[in-house]
Amino acid sequence: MTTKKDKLIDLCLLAGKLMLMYGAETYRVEDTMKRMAIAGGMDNVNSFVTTTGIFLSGVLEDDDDIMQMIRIVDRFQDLSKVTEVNHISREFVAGRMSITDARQELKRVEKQPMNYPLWLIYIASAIGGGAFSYLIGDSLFDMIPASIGGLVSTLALVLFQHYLQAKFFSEYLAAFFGGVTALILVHSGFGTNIDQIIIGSLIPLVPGVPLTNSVRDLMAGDLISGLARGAEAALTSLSIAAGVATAVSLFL
Amino acid sequence: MVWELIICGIATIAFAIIFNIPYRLLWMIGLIGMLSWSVYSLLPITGVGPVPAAAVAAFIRVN
Repeated sequence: MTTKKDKLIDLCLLAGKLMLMYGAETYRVEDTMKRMAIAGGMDNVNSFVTTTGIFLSGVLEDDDDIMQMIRIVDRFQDLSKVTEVNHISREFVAGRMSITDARQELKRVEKQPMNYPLWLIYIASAIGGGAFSYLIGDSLFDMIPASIGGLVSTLALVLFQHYLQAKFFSEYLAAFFGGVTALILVHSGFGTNIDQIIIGSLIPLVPGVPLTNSVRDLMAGDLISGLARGAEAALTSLSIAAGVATAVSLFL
Repeated sequence: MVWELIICGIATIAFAIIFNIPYRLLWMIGLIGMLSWSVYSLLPITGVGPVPAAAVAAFIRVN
């Protein structure tokens, strides 16, 4: 039995789940779900979002109270999906889209592949590592070993993430292999400035989106999710630092 | 300085690709990166410390 109530709350939860999984801020997810539920005719809507779960409650047309929750297990960074879900929710709130249409669109966004192919992401992390190493260290030649190190650390991150399914440990191993690559390149005479090369090879692993989102959540007053994301960012940075420290103490 | 600006634009666009930003925003992101890097590296000439310079550079937006 799928009444309008169930369809509406399913739609709101699907939109919230997609936004939270692909890296939106907490207050944006809460606001989007609340607006969609009110536009669908719900009263007394309350949404509560943390980094790992979504709660939504409300009353539809003098019916009983409904309250549902969803658990978020995986978190990725794909900001173009967040933009598309935002667009769909605006269309739905403005009344230009029915519940079924919006659900179909959200399903399409969920299945849609990444915006850029994987090889372009590898190349981008190599280029980003090299470019940031130049901005930090001012040696034009050391961009090449830094970009090789960045490529190796991203490849290692994707590989270990695929086989180990343990986020912090695979970040540790990726930082370790990036640091080892940088040290090997410097020892074999291909590169001079070791600080710059190590920084460049670690730059693709830095948790940029969790860090920014943590500060934005804290400023918006979502203390729990702000602290949770901050803890995620801090643990990631800690595992990166530990990986490099292992590499340096073993091979320098 | 010019080299630094170009490389900074490339670096920000590379990171935008890592985070899967939509295509139509890429040039804007590169512009923001170049502008904020120029503020960050030019302000210390006037005697401002690097931390206030970073704070000022964070306010740059293009829209």
